[in-house]
Amino acid sequence: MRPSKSCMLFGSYHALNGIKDSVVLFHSVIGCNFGTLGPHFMNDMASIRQSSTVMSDREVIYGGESQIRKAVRLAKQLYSPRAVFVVSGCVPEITGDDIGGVCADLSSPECPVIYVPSPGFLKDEYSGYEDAGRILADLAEEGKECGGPCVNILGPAADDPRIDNDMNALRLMLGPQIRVNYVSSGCSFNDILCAGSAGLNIVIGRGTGMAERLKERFGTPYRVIDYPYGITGCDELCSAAEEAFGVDLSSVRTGFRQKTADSLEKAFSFIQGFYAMPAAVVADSARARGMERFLTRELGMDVCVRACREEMGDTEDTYDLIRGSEAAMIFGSGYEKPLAEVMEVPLIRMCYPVLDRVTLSGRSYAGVEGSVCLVEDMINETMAARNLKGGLYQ
Amino acid sequence: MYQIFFDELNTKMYPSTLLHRFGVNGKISGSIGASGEIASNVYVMIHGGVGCAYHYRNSARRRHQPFFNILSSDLTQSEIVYGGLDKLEKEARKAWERYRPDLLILVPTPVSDVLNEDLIDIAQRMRDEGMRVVAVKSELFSHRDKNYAKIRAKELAAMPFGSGDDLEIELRGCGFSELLYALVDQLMEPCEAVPYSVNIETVGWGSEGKAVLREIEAFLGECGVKVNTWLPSASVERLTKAPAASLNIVKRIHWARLMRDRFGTPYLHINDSGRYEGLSGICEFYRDIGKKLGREDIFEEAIGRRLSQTSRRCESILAKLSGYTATLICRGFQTAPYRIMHYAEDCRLNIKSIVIIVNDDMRRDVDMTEQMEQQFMDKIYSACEKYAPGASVSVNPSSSEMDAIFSGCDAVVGSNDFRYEGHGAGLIPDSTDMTGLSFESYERNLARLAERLERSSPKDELIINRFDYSPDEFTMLGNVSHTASKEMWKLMWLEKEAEI
Repeated sequence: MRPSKSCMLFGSYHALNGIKDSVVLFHSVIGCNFGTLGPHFMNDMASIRQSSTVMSDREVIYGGESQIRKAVRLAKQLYSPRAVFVVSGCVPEITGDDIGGVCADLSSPECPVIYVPSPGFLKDEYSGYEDAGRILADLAEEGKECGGPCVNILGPAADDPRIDNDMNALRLMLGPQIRVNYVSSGCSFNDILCAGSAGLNIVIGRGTGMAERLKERFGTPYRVIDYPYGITGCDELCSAAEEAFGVDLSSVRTGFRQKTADSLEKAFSFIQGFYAMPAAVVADSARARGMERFLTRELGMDVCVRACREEMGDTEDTYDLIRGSEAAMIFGSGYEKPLAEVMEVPLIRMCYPVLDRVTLSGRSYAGVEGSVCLVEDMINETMAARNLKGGLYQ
Repeated sequence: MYQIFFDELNTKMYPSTLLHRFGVNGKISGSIGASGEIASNVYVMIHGGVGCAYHYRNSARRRHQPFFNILSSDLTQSEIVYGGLDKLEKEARKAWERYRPDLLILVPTPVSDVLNEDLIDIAQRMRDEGMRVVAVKSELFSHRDKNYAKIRAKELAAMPFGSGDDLEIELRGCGFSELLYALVDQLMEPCEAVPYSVNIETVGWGSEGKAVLREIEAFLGECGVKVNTWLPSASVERLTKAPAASLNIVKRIHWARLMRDRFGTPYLHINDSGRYEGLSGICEFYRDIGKKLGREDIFEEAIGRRLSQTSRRCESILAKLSGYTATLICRGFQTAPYRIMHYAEDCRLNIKSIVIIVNDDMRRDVDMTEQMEQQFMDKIYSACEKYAPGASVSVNPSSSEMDAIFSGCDAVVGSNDFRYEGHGAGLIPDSTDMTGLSFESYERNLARLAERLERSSPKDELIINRFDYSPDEFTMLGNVSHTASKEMWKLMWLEKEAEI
């Protein structure tokens, strides 16, 4: 089969690698480290906070615990991290290393060493993310106060394309009245310790594991929303905050509508071109649903195939559906490139992994600027995807 | 893999409709467009100043697919005074040496027309020396005949609905036709006839064009007819042998007439008078080909076979579609009778109301007289009586009247005007309706319509509805720059002779 999602280890990694002052240590064979590193590189090659215990045949036969000890010691020494997350792969979970015991032994208040079981054979990427989130929620400490309306944002991961820009846009959408505390895609270890103090957890697709645990421990309510593309996404986000805190964010929404129209008017005729155009969306459920909502309600497009990775089996089955459709554009990850090439249609890269584009500027896909950037990319990718071979026949 | 809607999207990423509110390209763009279709290493030399060769690369006819092989004879003041033919010949020979093209096409400009320079003579001399060069002859100065739309509207108005008549109007000065004419005149050679073969002009087949042409080819194959040449979307070698065909299937008649007179090749004009509209029109189209080729029986048998296959395959979809009530919006009078036929007869929608939108600009564009308007309305009523009896017909209803009309139906069809979204019934944009002259296309269209009706969902936050459009025209803004530029262009172009 052509897998539609990765394994549990990737899910754990995505829950953890946004913690900027910590280290992810893979207790596994080297491929697990390198496999996660590749997509991370495209997002931020300036910040590498991960390594491997390099399990090989010796550790399979004699056990790998000494390698964990060695690696954790080195990590503490070299990175001076606030915490080390030991993420286990398939092999040590089969051979039976006492990873939890070793981590507990090495842990200290200054630098907790936290075991995150993640054997790929056990669960998928999305379950891995939820399990790791529960572990993070357990780290949150009692008695921390935010002061004023404060939210945590759960779900986004550090290697999602243009995620920092999107989260900045999200902060702007919530306005100055609401403070954003912990954001899963970019935070400090201390933000996790304070996660229990938020008045609302906003879960963008995944992250319910952490949200549920925080609710159990601190009584914090949570709202699951789709990825906040466009004004329709902004509405959903603002409604959640308004209900939780009794604030009025109507001026944010009005400004959003006006600014979008002002910015896009320069290309109004191109944008009309998207009206009624069929499109396919393949992404994690939050992005797929958020994008479908944006494309349908705000651009008037016809989403003929919407595939959520969590629910997909063999990717090829989804591709068959898309190939059999009249989709004129594909919204997905960099992995959809060959499909888009075969179909000779543009691909908008809007979800992990993106291996053939970088985002260095402040361009987002969420928020007012995000809507503008997204539409801009849709127009440009369409123009760039022109086929110079042969006649036009029109 | 060919995606029909990407072609459509790509077309829409070139704002042709909007551009044409404010200006029209010179006819050179048509010649460049046709040159770009030829599937060989073709170079075009524009006989004019460098500006023409510079900007026509981006000819409007080729959207975002520029034609880069454009050279200039680089006319300067000296050539304007003393003549530019020597320089053209020198540049053309240089180009031949440097690029060794399969074909070099010399294209005149208004400047060379003013100088009355004979490009044909140079091309002939070069051909005599073994170089494959043709020259376009300018039929009209600068641009095509702008009265074409008016003449056509007048003729159409006078034709009774369903008469099945052809409407053959020659469009003079069209750069595209001029180039095809040059190919017939200077490139094509008498050759041995290939029995039961056709040439098909490839441009002007609409959004599904690429797919539909292949499907037509397959159907003709079933009838023992092969496509000899796609005109002009074929190699130079194939174009040379085009006279081997027994029939030309054409969109433009000027070049086809020359081919008939020169090589004896008859033609079938794919007219847009309504003869080939809908499923019955597709059958009629193939019958006409069969008749022209003297294979009526074979074609009739194949048409019957396909028709029964199509009916069988579409049975359940048509049953589903007949369960929907619809309002049909027609922009303008001219196509309305055929839109009624299409949606009611071919798609089996239960048409409850027909709304005709027509504004002063549209009337002005075609010099609409009261008599013409009445003739068009008579045709609309005839179509209505035949295909949608009982349906109401209203012209330019008010917003509240429109709301009332929409509330009585499941869907609104026939329009791309997204401003009708959110008025109750779901809008199925007309851009999704693209039946071409193949049975497959008809089937695709029905399936698409059924899917869209099923998938219809609210589009309540449309960004495109937040722009400040001209009240009459959703394809342009209502600001001063747009309205003034459009009015200015209309007065200068369409009403050039009028006293202002």
